[in-house]
Formats: sequence, C-alpha cells, structure tokens
Amino acid sequence: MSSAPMVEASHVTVRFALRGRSLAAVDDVSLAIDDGETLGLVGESGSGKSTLGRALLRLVPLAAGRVRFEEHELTALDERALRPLRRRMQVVFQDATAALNPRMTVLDLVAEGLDIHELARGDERAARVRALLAQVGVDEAVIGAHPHELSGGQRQRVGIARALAVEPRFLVCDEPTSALDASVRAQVLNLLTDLRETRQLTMLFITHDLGAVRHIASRVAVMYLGRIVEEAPTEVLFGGPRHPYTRALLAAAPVPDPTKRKLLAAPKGEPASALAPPGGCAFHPRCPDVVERCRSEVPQLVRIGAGAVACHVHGRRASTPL
Amino acid sequence: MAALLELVDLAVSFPAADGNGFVRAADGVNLEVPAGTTVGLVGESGSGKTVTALSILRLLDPPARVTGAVRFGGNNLLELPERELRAIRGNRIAMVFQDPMTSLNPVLTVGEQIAEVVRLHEKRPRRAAWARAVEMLETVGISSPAERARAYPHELSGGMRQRVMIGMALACKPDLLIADEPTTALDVTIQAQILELLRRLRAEMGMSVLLITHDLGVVAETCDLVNVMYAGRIVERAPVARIFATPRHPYTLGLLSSMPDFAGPRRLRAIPGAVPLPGKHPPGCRFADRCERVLDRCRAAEPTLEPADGDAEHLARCINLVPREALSGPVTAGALL
Repeated sequence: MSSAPMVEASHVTVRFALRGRSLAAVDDVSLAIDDGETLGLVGESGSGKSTLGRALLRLVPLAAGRVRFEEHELTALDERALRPLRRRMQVVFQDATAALNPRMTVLDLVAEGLDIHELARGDERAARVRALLAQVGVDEAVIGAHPHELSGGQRQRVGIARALAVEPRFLVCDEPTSALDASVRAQVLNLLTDLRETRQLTMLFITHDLGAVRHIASRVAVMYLGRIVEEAPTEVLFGGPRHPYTRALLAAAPVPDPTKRKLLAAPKGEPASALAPPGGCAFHPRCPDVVERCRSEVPQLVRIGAGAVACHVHGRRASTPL
Repeated sequence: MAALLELVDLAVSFPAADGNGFVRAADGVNLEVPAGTTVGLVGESGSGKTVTALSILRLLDPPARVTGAVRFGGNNLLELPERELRAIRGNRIAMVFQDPMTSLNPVLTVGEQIAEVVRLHEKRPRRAAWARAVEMLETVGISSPAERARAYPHELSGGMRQRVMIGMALACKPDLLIADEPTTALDVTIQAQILELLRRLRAEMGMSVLLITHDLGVVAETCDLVNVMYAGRIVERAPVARIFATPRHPYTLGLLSSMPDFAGPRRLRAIPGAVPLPGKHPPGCRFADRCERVLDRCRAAEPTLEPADGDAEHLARCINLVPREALSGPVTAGALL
C-alpha cells in the first residue's frame, strides 16, 4: 500500500444554477480515501453527498478545487484523456432501473464497459459476462433478459456487475441499497463486502442509511449543506459523535429495539435551503449549542483525536488545521 | 380490550397479469386494532400490507376485488352504502400516505384544504373552519401557522407537507388513523419529528393508529402490537417486545437478522431469494423456498396462524417454530447512541 491516498479532493466546490441563482451543492470540501479503504459518506437529502461523489469521478464540473486519482490530476485532464482512467473508477447508482437502458439485454448491459474499452469480444466477451453474473449472484439464465424482467435485487446486482466488468480500483456506491427491501438489502451489502475483499476495491459508500454505513465503512464523513462537518473512524464516530449535527442524526435514528425506546431527539426545524444558506456555520439555526461566533464565521474542519470536526464549540480542543 | 377495528378474513384480489383469473395480494387477513393502541403492519414490498390498508376505507377501485369484512363501530365497512362510508372517512377514520404531494391539491392553499375538510365533516362556517385549520397547523408543529396556511403545497418542504397531511387527517379528531409509510420519504431528522408528533397526538387525542411500514426501527419506536406480513399472509403477530426479543416465525427472524443495526460489523444473515410476486408463491407455506428451517411437511400444506407454544398473545404461521433463544447475543442497535 502506498502512503499517498488513492483519491484526494482538495477544496472542491461544485455550483449549480437554480432559478437564475447559483448555489454551492459542494462547498470547499477536502477529503482523502486510502487504498483499500471504504469511506462512508452520510447526510440527508440536499447535503451534497451525491454531487461530491460525482465530482470525485469528474462526472460534474468543478467550480473550484482539485481532484487527484492515483497519480493523475483529474481536474487537469480533458474528457479524452480521462477516458482510459474511467475504467479504473466506476459508479453504482441507487436506482438501477433508471441507470440501466431498458432496451438492452443483461448481456449487453454488463458488457458495455468491455465494449467501450475494447477489452473483450465474441466468446470471450460472453464468457466474461457469465463469470461476472456468477460473482454477483445472478443466475446466468437471465443473460438475454431486459431490466424490467428482473427483480429489484437482480437489477442492482446487474448494476454492480456492469461496474465491475472493467475491473475498477475505485468504486463509488451511491445509495446502492436504498431502493431495496430489507432482506435483499442485506444480500447486496454482503455482496459488496465480499467483492471489496476479493477485488481489493477502494470504495466511497454514499448513503443516508446509518445502519448500512456502520456495517460496511471503516471511516465515515458526515455532510451538511455542502460541507463535511465531521469525519472519523466508524466506531469512533458512532461511539462519540462530536458535531451537534452528527449527534442529532444518530439520536434521530429509530432503534430496532422496543426495550430501548427513546424520545426521538429531533433537532428543531429543517435544513436551510442551499440557495440561501445561513451565514457562519450552516447548522447554527438548528444547533442546541450555538454561540455568537457560529452565526458569522464558517468553522473549518480541524483534526481532533482520531477524527476531524468543523465546529466552533466542539472542535475547540483541536489545534492542527487540515 | 374491545377492538376498534377488526379485519375478518379480508382478501384483496387483482386480475392476473397473464389474464388468467385473479391473484390474491392479501389473503385471509385477520387483524384487530384495540382502542387506544398503535398496531404495526410490517412487510416488504409485495407483502400486501398497503392493499390491506387501502381496502379498509374502500379506496381500491375495480378491477380490484375485496372480500371478507371490515368491522368498525358495529358496521361492516365493505357493505356500507357510500353515503354512510363518507361520514366515516375523514371523520372517524383518517388516512395519511407516504407521499403527501400526490394527496394534496396543488392549486389550493394548505389552509383552504384543511378548512374544507372541517367544513365538510363538521359543518362549521367558513371563518371557524379557517381558524380550526390554523389551529391544526399549529398543533402539528408548523411555525407561523397563520402565514403558512396561505402557502401552496409546492411552497412547503416534504416534512412540512407531511405535517399538513397529518393536520388534515386529525382535524376532525378521528378515532383511528391509518398511516401508510408516513415517514419513508423523509430524512431521518424530519422522520424523528413526525414520529414524535404522532406519538404526542395519539396520547393527547386518545386515538388508535394502524401503522403500515417496512421499517423495523419505526415499528420498535412506535407500535404496541405488531403483525408481520409475507406474500399476502399475516405470518406472525405479537406484542412489540416479543416480536423483537423472541421472533417465532423464520421470516421475522430473517428480517431482524438482516438488519445491519443488529449485526454490527459481522456478516449479515440475509434471507436468500426475493419476495414472490402475488400469486407466484410456492404451495404449502409461502415462505418455504426461502426458509432455513423448512421441512418436507411445510410444502404439503399451508400452516395456520396459531398460538406459538400455546401463547395466546403470540401467533405464528409455522410448524417448525424458531426456538425462543434464537436471537442470541446482545442487540447492538442500542449502541447507536
């Protein structure tokens, strides 16, 4: 394992135009993912977590900042130069139905990457697809089927096989289990865990599902309104969340144990609009620990213990800016 | 405790996709909601839980066919004349759906919509109905309710729209609220607010709730009694604590074991296969093909829903019950916080 992270984002900002105004879906975010690591990225809708995942793959234009993948500065490359790298970084989406062309067969869907990168043809192509289907646990009898003939779980497995066909090193999973039923979700989580080990994948696992992220990620970053507010090894984060938003998120999650029924401690109010983010810390209007400084000054992510937190109140013992 | 609502041998059928007759999406459902309780109806997609809920107020249109009985207030709602049913709908039984955007009228302000419900059911004059609408918005925790009452649905966030729906459902103080996945489309912090709201309103108004959900966490936080549904059948029923501590049906155990919260970092015990489509379940026990405890006898005849080891409060539809100590080890979920 090399010492440099496999993927590194530095001060990445992504802007979208909405109703004639510009909003920062991702606002000055820096993060690093080590070789072989699974980083969980959690946040609620509108937090910018999916956009950040796409920015790392250069699937959306960056307004500012840089992204490095292995030894390549992605931000410096044009689409043509990016193409050979696309093989090495793939994505699995939440909604496999929308991500799979309804007119293509399972064979052609899984083989599409092989075709684009000219990796296999004819018998070799079909043999590779069959091997991939076996790996993701899909019966090869469906090789001629179209997406609508598959169950939700099968579709998601085909989506995974499709991403794996080109033998990526880095896999972004964007809510891969959110559309699945509980029993099937567990199958897909197990599959991703197995594949990560057999193929030594580095993963970014984007989700709002705290149970899934705790299960699969070795480190977790929490996003709120475009920024990472906390980041730590998984058990550190779940065992002792520091940022008031992380605490609120964990406290709000229903616990599947009726003997531990609690008053669900919901933070007051709702996230502000990214179109009109509050000044200072974006969480301050909902924060129970707010102090005057939070209203005017954006807190920076600073190292504290094994993790990092962006909070004027709970990041104070920190000294080293990231 | 007297049952407020009782479903008796309820079945919901749809024309089969291949044109051959009908398939039963819900089949022989017997279920009670005792007064003052929250009863959960839990299942994965395709289990039949939503069609069961919709059939209670006859919200399913033909060609869907509903048979059996829905007993409420001395009547069978399935046989009641439409006029009389309308007096019950919204007034004594109200319903909240997963997606409030499809249930709210986009061209009326939310205040007008709540006021209309109040005028229809309580025959209050316009001004009093409006005042009641504003009051309901306040009750469901919407700030500046007088102002928000003049907003259109699209001007509100998803969480606020769901509050409006709940406000509308509760405006006439129903005896029973049927909530179908009321928080599924919401973020977890907003879900917590809505669940707290439902809890508080239930206590204040003394109403009963039938909660339809796929989320076992939501069930654990809110329900008194739980019914687990699989492939159109109720397969297990028990007080909430027993469902989680000593599930007796292998499907319920499978659902609990497949939750990452329960497993911690170890490998999840997933249930193999997928929920069968309506009408496509195997003969005998409908769970047999996916069951790790399956016996030859399971495929011969479908088990009935019976007291498990003689426990009249804990029913299971299984001839090879999960032993009581099956869910071994501490439940790690509580460690979330």
